[in-house]
Amino acid sequence: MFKKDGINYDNVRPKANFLSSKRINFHDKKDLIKNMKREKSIRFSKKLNLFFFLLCISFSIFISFNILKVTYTKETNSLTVQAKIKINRGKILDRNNEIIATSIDTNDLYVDTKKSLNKEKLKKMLSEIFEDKESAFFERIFNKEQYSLIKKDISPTELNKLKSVGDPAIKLHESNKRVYPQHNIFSNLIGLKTNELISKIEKNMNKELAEGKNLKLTVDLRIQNIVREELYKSLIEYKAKAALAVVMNVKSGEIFSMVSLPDFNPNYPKSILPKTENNLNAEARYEMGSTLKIFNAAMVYESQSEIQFNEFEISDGYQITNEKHILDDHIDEKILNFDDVFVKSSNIGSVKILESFGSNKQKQFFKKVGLTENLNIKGLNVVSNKLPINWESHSKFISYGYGLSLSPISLITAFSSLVNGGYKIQPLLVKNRINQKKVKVFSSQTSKKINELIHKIVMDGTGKKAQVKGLLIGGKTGTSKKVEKGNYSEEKKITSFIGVFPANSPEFLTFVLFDEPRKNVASSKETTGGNTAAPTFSKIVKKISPIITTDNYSRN
Amino acid sequence: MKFLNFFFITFFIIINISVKLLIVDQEAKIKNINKEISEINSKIEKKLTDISYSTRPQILKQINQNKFKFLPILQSDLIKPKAD
Repeated sequence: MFKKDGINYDNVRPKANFLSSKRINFHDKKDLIKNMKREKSIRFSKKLNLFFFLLCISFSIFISFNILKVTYTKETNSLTVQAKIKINRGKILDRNNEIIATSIDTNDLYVDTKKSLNKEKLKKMLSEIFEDKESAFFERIFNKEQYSLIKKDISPTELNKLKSVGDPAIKLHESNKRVYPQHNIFSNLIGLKTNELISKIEKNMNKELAEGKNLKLTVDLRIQNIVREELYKSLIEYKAKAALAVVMNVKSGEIFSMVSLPDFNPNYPKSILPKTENNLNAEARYEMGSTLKIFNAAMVYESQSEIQFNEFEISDGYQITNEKHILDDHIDEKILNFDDVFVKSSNIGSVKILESFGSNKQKQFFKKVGLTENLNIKGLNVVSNKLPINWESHSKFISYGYGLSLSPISLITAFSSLVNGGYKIQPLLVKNRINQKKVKVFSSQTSKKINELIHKIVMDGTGKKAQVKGLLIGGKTGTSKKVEKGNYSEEKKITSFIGVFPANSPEFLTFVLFDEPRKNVASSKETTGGNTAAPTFSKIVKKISPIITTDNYSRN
Repeated sequence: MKFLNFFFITFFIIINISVKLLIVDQEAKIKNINKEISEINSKIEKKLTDISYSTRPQILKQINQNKFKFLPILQSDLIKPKAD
């Protein structure tokens, strides 16, 4: 008969309720129609379910995306909405968490002159509040009839006065200002940050600070203030052009103080003069003079040479080159033993010691102490030392501190290795939890002999004025002539003193340098490291040593 | 079956919307709390900065000179007892 899709309609019989039902349900013997319908219905249900399932999934994803905005942060153990959190620039702190630089919320004042109720009155009141602004400034603003900036970072007093004006033209915009509560004290070290300018630590550590991370330095506000105060007094007293000082731990390399004068107030960027900007400790280099002689002694001690038992004739002077003849006018003795070459700071003795060693050994030694390589200190810009192109022809000059221009911080770093038991150190300015690897470059014996020698220099030699009552001091003075128009000047000098305490087992180093001092404590005609930098060293150490020794600053 | 499906889907959508509304509400609360926190932080910062300004060494020196006249402790003032 008639067949379609395998259904035999011959077998069709009406259901019992056929007459009462509007729908006609056919039944066959094998329920083929029923099954087909059921399958159809199941297929439809599956599609519907799939559709709703996909709808739910999409909706869940949508919800999930919204939930993702809320993030669980491990650090604070709290829910924070990331999008709207305002990150302030991180603070710069000293080792005792005293604030050196911080950011505070302020307001910038704008005026929308079109919305003013009474322009003349507003103009008058604004010129009364901001007395430092000229009347022509307000004339120009109000003539333009524009939305104009009146002043950035207005003070709370100015804000209160503005609120009492009550004119809708006054518009305040939220702003942020970098402030330096310690004014000049750290200026040459941390620099400054304004909308237009950024320098020194503020610039070098900008990434961390911009992320809102606080920066803890190794410096100490109290020590920095004492050093700055004493250095400033001496700068005035000696009528020097510039001065600098550093206090450092010779074992850990932590810098407790770094002062460079003249300095500036970072809160008033417009008043900064170019000559005050540089941190002379790291961004300038000098021919150090006799402070470099101590490296000759270390060279002799380290090689265990017999030279340390020799005597040196100095009365006739020494012809270095055809044009250069040196004399030790300041020494009365004609013959000096090895120690006295350094105690009395003899240039001739130093050259003669170098002669018996040779320039190659000297160069290798300077390389060993790190004076020939670039020094990298986190947060600081350090200039590279200026080495002679031909070392051999300059080696005799180098033996008494000429022909080689060093940054003070690199001299201090190298000197630390001589006195701390022979370990090479890396100066630290930014607090660091990672302990430094100790690399030994000298024997402990050499270091011990150097400490005895520099103590002798302070007790009996050129560094007598560096003595501090109640403390064993060791150190070396330095005086060098400045180069002026291609020649060494007889008047313009660099005087310095590098000293450590306690001398029997040095832990702290202080370096003081004056650029072109014209007077000295002894009222002597000659300004030297011994009568300028050494007494200033003594004044500084006298005051800082009780702080350093009681607060356990010797710990790494 | 269809009714059950429809019920579950509707229930799920309602739950989702409720969660979303709850999150929006919580977000708003968190934002407000954060705002309050940052305002308080800002005030604390200002106070700390004020303290730093008013306790900077130059000011303390001035106060000492005018009122207390304390002398600094020097190395020579420290007594180191020696054991017999």
